[in-house]
Amino acid sequence: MKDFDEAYAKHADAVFRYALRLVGRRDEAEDLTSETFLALHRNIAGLDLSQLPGWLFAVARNKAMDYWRHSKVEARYLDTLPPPETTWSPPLQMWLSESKALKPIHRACLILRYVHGMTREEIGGQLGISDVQVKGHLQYARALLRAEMERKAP
Amino acid sequence: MSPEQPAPWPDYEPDEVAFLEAGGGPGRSCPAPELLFPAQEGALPARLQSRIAAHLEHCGLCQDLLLATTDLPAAGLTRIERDRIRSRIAGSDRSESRGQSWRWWLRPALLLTAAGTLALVAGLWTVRTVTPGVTPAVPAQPAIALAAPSVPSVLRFERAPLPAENDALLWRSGRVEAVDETSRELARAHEAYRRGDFAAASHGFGLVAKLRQDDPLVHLYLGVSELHRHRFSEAVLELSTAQRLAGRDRTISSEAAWHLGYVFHRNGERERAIATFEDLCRGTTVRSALGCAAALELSRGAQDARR
Repeated sequence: MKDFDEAYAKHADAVFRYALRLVGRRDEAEDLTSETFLALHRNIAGLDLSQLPGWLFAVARNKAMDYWRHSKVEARYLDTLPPPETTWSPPLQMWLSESKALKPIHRACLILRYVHGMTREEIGGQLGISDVQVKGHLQYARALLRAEMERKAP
Repeated sequence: MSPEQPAPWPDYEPDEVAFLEAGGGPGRSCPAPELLFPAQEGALPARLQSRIAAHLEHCGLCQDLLLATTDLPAAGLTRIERDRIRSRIAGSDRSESRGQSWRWWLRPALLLTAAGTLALVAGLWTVRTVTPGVTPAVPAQPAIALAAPSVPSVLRFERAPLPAENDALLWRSGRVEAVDETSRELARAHEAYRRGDFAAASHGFGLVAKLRQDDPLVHLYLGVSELHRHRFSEAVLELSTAQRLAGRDRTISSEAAWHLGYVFHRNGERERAIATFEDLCRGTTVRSALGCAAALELSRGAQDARR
């Protein structure tokens, strides 16, 4: 039990972050983390603890595969995909892609807000920051991009 | 952004609208962002994987988003989430060790009971349908009344032999002192349950339930005791709690579901009873067969009543 508690204290955050990236939803990531550590709890006696955290990540990935393979989840996402031949991009997307001034956090906030139409709360949930922080990043990023557009305007 | 609930286009502020107009308007030609990382990890099913991989190959924006979010230090678990996961694991551990102590005889016993009930239901159905020249009478009671004898028989079976906690059994056998007062109270409640004194059993299980609030078995027995006392709303509350706490322990959760369906039936809530039995019917436990039979009989009863 001591080994398990130590492993949980040490790796729970990393496993959760990985799970969140794998399934994209905080509630699902919590379930996935829970199942992963439950598997560790059941197998810890026969496990070489030097295999951690790799073993945990492998279990989390397998469980994420199970989640995505659930027929309803797959069908829902297949229905929402753009057609494979879609190559059209609005001008804003090109600006976002080509800008050199944007930092990763700014680019991520802009894409999620203006390409995917997410709310500030949803963006915060996706990136792990507050919606107030998202608002600040968006304001700053818009100013940066506007300045770049004006500089490059013919 | 989940595809099951397409988010309404956000209410942009005036500054955002001006920005979008200057940039040529928003676009939505990319797949949901939560698909990008699993696609990169190869965790998606084949069809989805190939579609997202093909999109990622030519979409600079999605590549940017993937890179941008990979670089970000995503927030870890909150304290509440961390504690919730830890308690789920602890709960599972408890229910596993508890289950091992009594399920070895409960499972085959329930299987036998289920088989007996099904045989009874099938026999009655056969008698009703094959007797020549006799018009089946419309039952005065709901059709579950046909199956009803099986329900008390299950409950009778559970009263003796009674699955008791290990420490309670040891205390009753006189081999060791009960670990604490809660264990003694639990043993007394089981004893009362065994002899059919459901008022005393209900009182005892109620005391223990206050101390072991997360123990699904205690709530299950409390709910069944309340059922015997015809206190249906109390029974529903306790059995629902047992079902919720049982989580993935299918033995306990299906026991709770079965009794819950029976309480609804006894309380005249036919639709809720059918829904509960149908849910149970989808499972794979020995109670599932009983759930299917009960749902079928109740549905037939409803059809008869409509005619």
